[in-house]
Amino acid sequence: MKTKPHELVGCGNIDGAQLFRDWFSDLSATAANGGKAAYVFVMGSLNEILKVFDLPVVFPEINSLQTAVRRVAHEYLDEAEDFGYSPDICGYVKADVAVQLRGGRHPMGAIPKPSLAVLTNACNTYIKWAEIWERMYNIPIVTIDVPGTRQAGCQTWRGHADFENDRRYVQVQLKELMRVCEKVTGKKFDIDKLREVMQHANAVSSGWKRVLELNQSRPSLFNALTDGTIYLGVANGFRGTQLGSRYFNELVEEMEYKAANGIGTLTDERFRLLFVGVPCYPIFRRFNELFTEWGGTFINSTYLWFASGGANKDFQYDLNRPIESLAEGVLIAVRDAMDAMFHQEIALEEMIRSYRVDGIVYHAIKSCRTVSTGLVDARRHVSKKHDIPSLFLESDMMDRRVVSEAPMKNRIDAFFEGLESRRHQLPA
Amino acid sequence: MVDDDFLIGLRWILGDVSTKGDPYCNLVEAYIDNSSYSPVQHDNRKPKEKMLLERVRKSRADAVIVASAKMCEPGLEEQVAYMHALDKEGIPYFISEFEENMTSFEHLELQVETFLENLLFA
Repeated sequence: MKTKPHELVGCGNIDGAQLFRDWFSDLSATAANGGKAAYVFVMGSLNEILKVFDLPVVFPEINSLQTAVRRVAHEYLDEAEDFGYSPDICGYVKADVAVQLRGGRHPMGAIPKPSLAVLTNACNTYIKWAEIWERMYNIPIVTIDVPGTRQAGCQTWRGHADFENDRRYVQVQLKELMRVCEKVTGKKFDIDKLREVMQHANAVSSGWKRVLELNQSRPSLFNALTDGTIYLGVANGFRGTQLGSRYFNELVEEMEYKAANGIGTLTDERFRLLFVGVPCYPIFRRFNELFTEWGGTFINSTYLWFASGGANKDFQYDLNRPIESLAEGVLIAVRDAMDAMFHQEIALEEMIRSYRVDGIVYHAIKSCRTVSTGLVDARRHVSKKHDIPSLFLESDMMDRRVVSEAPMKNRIDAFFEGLESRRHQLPA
Repeated sequence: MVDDDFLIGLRWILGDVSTKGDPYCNLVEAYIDNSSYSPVQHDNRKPKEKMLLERVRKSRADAVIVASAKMCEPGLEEQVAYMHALDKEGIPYFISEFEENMTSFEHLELQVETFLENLLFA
């Protein structure tokens, strides 16, 4: 247990980065010995079930963004486009296609081939992406069809007939996934192991919620854009594991210590911002600097909401009825993740109420029309209800061909000049 | 053009739906078991590229034009599978991605003419 300040402060980033390296090291070992692995996605990974069968999980979305962070994504995108994929297709898909064409070679090691793929309908691209693997490797793909919110503000909850129908629908599909896992791994489903995994997932979810709450502190304790990406990676890759639950317990300790002692990030915080969308990974560090140079820090982000791997609503599994509760948790978490794409204003209004916000940055990306199409409407809606300045940027999370730093900097500088001017004009 | 898959939704069911027995059940069976193919459907029993090749053979087409709407990501992804299937069979094809608000077609005309000349004189 870490108790000294120098052990606590920064441990989230240091330990998170080490966990990542260990994870990819294990995946490389699996690839080398031809072991089984499951390909999954952040919105509904079903890690809870896969861990019962000791299946290593591969998140192609995370693999792809790592190629952009390491500034080699363009090589992967070119290779996929030479293979026939359109420039308009999601950059994550194309980078992964190139990884597959390269036999799993990746900047962080080697990615094993899939033995099965598990996906939800949270993102329409997931389904086509899984078809690519199905064609390449002739593997089973299990699609969990999760009913979404029928209308904004009209979600149903436990006890409501519609909710119970939806839960039963999800539950039947989870049982189908269990049967496929038994077939692929040759292992029998173990309900006690599921309880153990779900207990760890509960710890990750409650830790995640606490960490986000603590960032309401002034100054904020972590940058939602940069530090948040590390925490997200662990929340997804280590969901349902002892390592994951320990990491989040220690992360909460770190953040509580920082909050109690007024320790913020490395930025002298002057403006507290919300970020809407996926970060600009091709120039990740520089993109963040364009804001921190003005004292802007990101205190929360919709990305930390929909990409948290199921931790977004802090749903606590009931271990007395594990399968039913798992179905309920998957329904709520994935439905909520889908709401993140179509009703960002709901999350934003909740953040505005809880965090003191000076500005909102919307980041539309070429790769994802599903999310980006509605951003302008979300911005307009939020602007009508709240007097909070906002900035709208367009680039991509993978393709540096559509990322222009100079015009982006001009827009960001103008935004901060506006925030400064506004601050001088407001009564003290 | 000897065949196409335009407005495939309007021709989704491939035969008459039985009027005997439970009509809902018959409709469902027709939708699942007696239907065409599209990039937004997934059914391992009717792989889309296989059904495209069948359509090409039945119509005795000499070549295929694959026109993908840029706004439709499933279609753009599917075209790669079509491409590779047609390559494997040695069937000539021309791929064009179009925007729904296109107003200028000179470039496309040039590409189509070149493709057809290739077919005629290759």
